[in-house]
Amino acid sequence: MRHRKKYTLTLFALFFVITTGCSLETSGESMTEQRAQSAVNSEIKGVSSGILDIIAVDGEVSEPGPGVGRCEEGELRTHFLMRHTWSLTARNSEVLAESMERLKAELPKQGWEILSYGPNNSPARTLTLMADHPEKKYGISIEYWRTRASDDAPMLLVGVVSACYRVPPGETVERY
Amino acid sequence: MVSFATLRTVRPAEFEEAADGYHAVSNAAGDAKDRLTDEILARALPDPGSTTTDSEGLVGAAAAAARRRLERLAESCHYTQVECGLVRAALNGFATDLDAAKKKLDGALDDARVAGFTVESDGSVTYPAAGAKVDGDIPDGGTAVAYDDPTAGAVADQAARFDPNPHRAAAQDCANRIASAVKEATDADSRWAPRLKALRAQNDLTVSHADWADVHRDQRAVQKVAGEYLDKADIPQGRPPAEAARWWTTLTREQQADYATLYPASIGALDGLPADVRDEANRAVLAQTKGTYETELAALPTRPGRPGYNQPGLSGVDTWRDRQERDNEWEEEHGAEYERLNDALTGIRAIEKQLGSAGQDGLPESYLLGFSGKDDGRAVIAVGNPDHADHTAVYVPGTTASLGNIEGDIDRVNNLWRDSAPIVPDQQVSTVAWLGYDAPDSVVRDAPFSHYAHDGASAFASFVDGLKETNSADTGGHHTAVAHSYGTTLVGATARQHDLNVDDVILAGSPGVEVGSAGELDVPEGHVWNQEAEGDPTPDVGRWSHGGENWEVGGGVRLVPSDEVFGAQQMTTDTQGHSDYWKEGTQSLRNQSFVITGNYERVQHEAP
Repeated sequence: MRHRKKYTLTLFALFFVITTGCSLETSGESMTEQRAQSAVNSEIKGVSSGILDIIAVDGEVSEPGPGVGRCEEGELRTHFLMRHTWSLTARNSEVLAESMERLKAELPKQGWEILSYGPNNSPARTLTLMADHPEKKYGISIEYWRTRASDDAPMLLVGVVSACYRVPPGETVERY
Repeated sequence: MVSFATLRTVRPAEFEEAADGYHAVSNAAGDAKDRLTDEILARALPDPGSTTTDSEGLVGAAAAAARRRLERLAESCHYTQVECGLVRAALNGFATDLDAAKKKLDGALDDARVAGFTVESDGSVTYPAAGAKVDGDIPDGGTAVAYDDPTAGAVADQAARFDPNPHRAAAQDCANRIASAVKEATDADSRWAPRLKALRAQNDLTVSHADWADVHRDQRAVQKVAGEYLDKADIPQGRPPAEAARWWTTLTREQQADYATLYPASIGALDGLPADVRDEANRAVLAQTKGTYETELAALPTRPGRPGYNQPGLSGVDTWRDRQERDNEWEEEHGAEYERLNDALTGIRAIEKQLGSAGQDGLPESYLLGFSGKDDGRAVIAVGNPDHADHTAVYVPGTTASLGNIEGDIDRVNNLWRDSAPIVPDQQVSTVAWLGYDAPDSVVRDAPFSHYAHDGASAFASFVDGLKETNSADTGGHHTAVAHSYGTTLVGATARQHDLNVDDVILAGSPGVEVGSAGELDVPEGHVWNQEAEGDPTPDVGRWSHGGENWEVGGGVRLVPSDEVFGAQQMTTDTQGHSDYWKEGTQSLRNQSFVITGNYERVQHEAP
């Protein structure tokens, strides 16, 4: 009696884990995780403010918040990613140049992998830092512009992009 | 029926004053609607289903209920604005017609008084005795009467001419003119009175789709009689935008308001008019079209339903095949109509959502610069006001673009705006989705044919000219055309057949632009930017239909912008450092935003 009960319990436990443990789905070659849009919206804002903290320069930050983008794969109605492009305009360029160095040093301590740091292949050879966060699943690009075309002010241009996610079943992506 | 006595004392200005009153109400309703949607709803009561904000604004069941009530209020305000506008236009129209009749009457009365005649209370004209003596007596005076009947009138005229009293002819003329003026006033009254009477709202608290469809009918009814007051033929449709802009400034404020109310579709589509004018007009068209389509959709018989399992016991009477056949019949008779209406309504809802999103999260106001439900539909939506923008981008979509799919194009310009605006925080940016042409429906069947591009080319040229005409930015305004797949062919056709009046051209996934070199795209050297869209086979497949010729060294026929010899700047979609997240789509947006904001030195190029 005792043995049979234990055996049944183990089987049942196994069955339970297999059927409910996964919230991943296969789509082609990739597995797309399920997440609510509001959660990713909050999280990406957190990533941006974390970067701003490291930069630690007084200046004007652009207003618009994150927006919803398209995934490379997956159905449009159910798959989404978030993007946040923002800029920090400062009064002098030295503090921004210094903050680029600070970012290169501090980001890895917060779990970021620096993918590249140096001039990119634009005519201006813009100093660009690119990094990924494997755990949180974000990619960032930070460009340092000593002067910009419109008013010659110095600025950092930051782009943050999330991984691709799937909305909870029954919902459709809200695009904004 | 207007009597002589009435016309004598009426003041047409009274009707104009009444029209002014409705104008004030219409404006107030419009302001209230704007305040509700842009400030209160957008800022304080976010859509519960929305995920943009989690900490701003009021949330909860009470807030959701409040939001629904306020949305209804905004709808009522919009309805009030449009209907009061129609009443105003009708009153102004009637006042104008009445004024013309009154002037005629006053002229006749003046002449009668100067000549010493007496005008009787019924409009007949009494004249004194006068003239050379006949049989020793001065010819008698008398009373001239105007006749409705043309024969009787002709006889009276004849008699007047032969009367030895010279006054008779003049008096008859006065009497005729008086009668004619009264008839004109009567005609105006019978034309306008029914229209005004029909401008009545239903006495319930909801503005339904039937109400909006009704507004549409009201407007057409008022339009029919408004010909004298504001002629539709005076609208400079199809004329150069500079001409349209000039025409608009020659109108009084009242006339501008009435034109926009009576002919919103024409005014909304008129290149050269200010963006906010076109936007208001097109929003009225949007609401009316939505009401009309919803009414038509509701009128279609419901689909019999897919055959499923039969009810027990009915298999003998109503077989699976019978139900399938009924379903097929419905599909044949109503299927196409149902799909057309549904697709259009899908697009309309996407546009409404975009128009209602202003103010949230730093997004600017959106402007509806074009809208039509006909055929595959037309929609032109600007994020940010292009009249004030230092940098404007016009996005031209490709195959399968239609009103039903407009959400994707709106999505694209929202993304473009979000990427461009932070680069120039000291300036204004506007991104415009332009579905102003009939895009090919099928990638396989239709896209190889050029006529879609040619038909749309003049519309695109005019639209761009219109943007330049109304732009008032201190910096002079910088304009970029951003085209995708078949949209690039349209842009090329525009440059080839007309004048492409932009400063930069971005081509993504182009199958060919009908010209063989960047230099033929009407922009200065170095201002044509090309990128292959991610995973897009079109450049090679399309070159045999849309490629251009270029006989420079190394050139030949059937060239596309990706070919080096074409001479475009090749932008890269490759990322540095191989990020798992920063992919082609993000990189291409970034490059595009640099061109749009004039930061050419920052664009990343393909390695040669």
